[in-house]
Amino acid sequence: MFTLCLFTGLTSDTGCASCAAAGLGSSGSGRRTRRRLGCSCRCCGRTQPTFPPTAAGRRRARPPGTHPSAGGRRQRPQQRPQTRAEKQRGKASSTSKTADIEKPTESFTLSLESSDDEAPEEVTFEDSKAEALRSMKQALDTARREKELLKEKRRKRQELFQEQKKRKLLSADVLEEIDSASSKKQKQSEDEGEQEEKPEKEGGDGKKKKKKRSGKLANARNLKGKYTVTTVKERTLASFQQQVAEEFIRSRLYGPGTCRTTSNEMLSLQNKKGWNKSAAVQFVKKDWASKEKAKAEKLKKRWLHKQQIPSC
Amino acid sequence: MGEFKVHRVRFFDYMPSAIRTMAFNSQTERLAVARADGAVEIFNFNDNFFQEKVIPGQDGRAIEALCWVGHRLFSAGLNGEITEYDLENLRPQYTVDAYGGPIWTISSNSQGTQLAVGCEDGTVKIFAILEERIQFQRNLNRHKGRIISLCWHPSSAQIAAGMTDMITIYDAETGQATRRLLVDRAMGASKNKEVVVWSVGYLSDHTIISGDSAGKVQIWNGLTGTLVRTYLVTKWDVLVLSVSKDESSVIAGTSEGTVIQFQFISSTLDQHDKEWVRTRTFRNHSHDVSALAHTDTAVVSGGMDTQLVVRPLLDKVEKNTQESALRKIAFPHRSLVGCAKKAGLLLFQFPDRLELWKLGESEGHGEQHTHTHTLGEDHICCSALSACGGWLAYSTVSSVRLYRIHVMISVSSSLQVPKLPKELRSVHQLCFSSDSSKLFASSCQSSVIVVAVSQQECRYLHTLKHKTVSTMLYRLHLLCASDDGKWLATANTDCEIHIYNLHKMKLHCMVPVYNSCPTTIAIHPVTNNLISVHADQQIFEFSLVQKEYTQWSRRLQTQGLLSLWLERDTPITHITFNPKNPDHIILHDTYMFCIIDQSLPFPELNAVLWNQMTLKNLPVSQRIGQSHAFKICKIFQHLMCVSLLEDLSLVVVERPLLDIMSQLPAPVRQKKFAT
Repeated sequence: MFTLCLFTGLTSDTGCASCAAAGLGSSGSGRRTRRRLGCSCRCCGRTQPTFPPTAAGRRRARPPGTHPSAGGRRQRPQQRPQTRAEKQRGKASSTSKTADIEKPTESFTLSLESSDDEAPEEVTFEDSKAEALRSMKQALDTARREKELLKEKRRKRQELFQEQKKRKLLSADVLEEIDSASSKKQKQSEDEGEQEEKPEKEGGDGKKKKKKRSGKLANARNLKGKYTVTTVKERTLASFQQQVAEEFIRSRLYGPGTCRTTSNEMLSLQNKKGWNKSAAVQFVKKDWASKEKAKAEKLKKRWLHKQQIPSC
Repeated sequence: MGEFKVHRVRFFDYMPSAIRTMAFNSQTERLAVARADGAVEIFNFNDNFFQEKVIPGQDGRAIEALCWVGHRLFSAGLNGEITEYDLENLRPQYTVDAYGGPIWTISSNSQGTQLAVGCEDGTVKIFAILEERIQFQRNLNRHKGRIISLCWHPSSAQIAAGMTDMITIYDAETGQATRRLLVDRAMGASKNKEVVVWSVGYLSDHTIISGDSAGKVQIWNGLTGTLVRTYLVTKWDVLVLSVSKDESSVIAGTSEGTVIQFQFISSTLDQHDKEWVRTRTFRNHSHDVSALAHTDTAVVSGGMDTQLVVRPLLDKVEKNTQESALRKIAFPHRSLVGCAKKAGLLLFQFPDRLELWKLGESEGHGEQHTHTHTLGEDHICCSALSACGGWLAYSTVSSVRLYRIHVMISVSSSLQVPKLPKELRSVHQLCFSSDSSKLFASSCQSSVIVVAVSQQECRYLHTLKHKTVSTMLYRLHLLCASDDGKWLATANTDCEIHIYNLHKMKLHCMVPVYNSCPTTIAIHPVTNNLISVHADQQIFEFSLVQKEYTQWSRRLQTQGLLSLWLERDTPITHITFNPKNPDHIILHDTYMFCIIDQSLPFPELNAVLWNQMTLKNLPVSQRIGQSHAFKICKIFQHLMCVSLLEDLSLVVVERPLLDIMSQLPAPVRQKKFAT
């Protein structure tokens, strides 16, 4: 039957000799008490005077790997160069560990080096629970922070895209015009049947005009008088085909691959190459490119403002 | 001369529409031009390129091709319909749906018996041309892919059709496709892009000439189906081709704005080995050239830059004469601006709307008062504003509208008059009498309908007609009422001017016919003389009371107008008078406005016409010796209208060409050295 010395980790049948020498009773039980009466460091043989177990010592179990040169597993992280894994995890983790270790190890320094043969430090359940909770919280914190950072990035990108899209879209009044033109076209297809009656009924003319005037309230008007309603199927089909054909011409002449430029460019080049050389058209004519000019003004103001700030 | 306060108006946003296609009728020397908004204009090449007739457009009528058959004009468009136009009444006579989808091209055979149309669905449909209509005959064999261009062989036995990537030759009798000519795609990066054969020409020796979107003009032998010669003329598309009548010259129009001529000549002096050689390049356009016509003496081109350019060929006309000058027609040859002299209102006529503006007191901007939209798709044919500014009328091909306007300080309202007489159906020209109590409308068969206009109602009064010798009854394109309400002058495109007595409501007399069409007429408020200016820039003054030309007019004719005056290329579109000085006649064309002083002598033949600047520099005493009747001012350019208000201030409506050019669609980007 062998006994495992809990303090030194030696197995012996009679009990740990070193523990016996140190005066520690060989206790085969799991009780871990710490009595430092003089430990000799197993690896370096130094005998360190022990101090009465302090409250701080009790609280803290010896964290693994704290021994400077225990070989292999037990190595102090301060003196060991950081591994790549540790670097990837972030110095924070190792520094947190070391930071945590720093304070208590100050009190331990002397004791740790010589505590190889000693029994492990006593750590209460609350301590370890607190420790575990803390580390978990930390991990959660870091994870949450990372998620937030990513979210921020994504949100910013989305905003940027929205802005670009807004800039690309036409101005609001042009869109309104297009809207009203398309609603007018819809009304025309409904007026088709009405137009049959037109030559006979001039009295209806005023009403029709009023209907046209009512604009977007197409659904709200009331059909008075004699009006025939015809189906609009063929017309929409024809106009769809017409749109396809117009799209074909437009894409062949103005679509991608055709090198086209703007009228502004062309006129500016004419100004440049003409007999009386003058500036590009947007500078020659006052009402051209007003948006670009406004933007340039804003930029100029901002730049001037920036220049003034460090000086004052 | 006088000093005038000038209202310089630049807020008329007139935007002409791009020229889509054109067709020349060599028998009648008329050119039909179709624009992108569906309007069709007829120019008379015999009469100084005057724009005789304008058939207003329609929304949705996207004309792609025009074709003359004798005196009849046919058009086909992307709405799938073939339309024949009534050139006397200036409206579409009827439309026939081809049921093949959008129609891309239309062409008639040389005998004028059959009409071939190329459709979106890949069929070529043949219609028989009958007396008053056309009738569907048959389809040729259907092919995959749309038919973009067509051309009949002069013998009417074959048809060459240009599609995507190939040209097919059909036998017109059987409908079978006999040959297929495969067109190469563009070199380089656009190998994947299909090449579209935009235009083909078929000559009587079975040579086919094609222009395609890869920028090539190719000459094929139609009998063997082989390629004879390729010319790469541009990096962009060759949009249109036109073959001259004697088949010795072909012109090609490109997206770059150039027109290239190929001639069938021999490279050596002997006549044996003739071949097609590229000869001239014309660069008269800034945007795409989409329409061409090759007349006997000139090359006529039009495109996206909305201008019609007539370039006479210098080997067919005499150099350095009026004949050989380049002509650019950018503005319409009639007035689109109406002016209410007493109220200071301006009416701008757009194809789809009217804008009424009140002239501001100071140099500030005028205020806009009302916007009137048209019903349906028809575009506005003509409009009129009464002198007091209280009545507004406009007409389309199908209807007439009359509005009562109330203009207050900052607000205005317009009320439509509901019940109009049924005689006012399709009207080509409108004119209010000077006291705004009557409205004159030119209706069919050269007659004028007189309608009384009042607060309560609009009542038909009378129809003024005249007996005419000729069978063709032309529409009246000019109407003018005298200030005292007694006379009405009308002019039609057959160069006839008729005077009606409104008190008796019958024809008073007819002015002797001059062989050029009148471009504008006006009746002098004081002397009641009719001033008429014609398309060849001649001016006549006719006394209505005495029914003969006045002394001044006879003196002018004997003396003759200066050549600088006669060589102006834009017609006079408006005449107005000065209430303060009855000797003054104010005329304007696109590039100048002129005050003719009837009390001053005419310029000598070697005198300087534009002598205003020199006169300014002379001391006052010497000026009398040098001055002559024509006082021309060129300060304001690209005039749409010049008018004199009752308070003696001049209203000048300008539309600079640069403003129009800046709003045109995108031109091609040409890489030039050092830019």
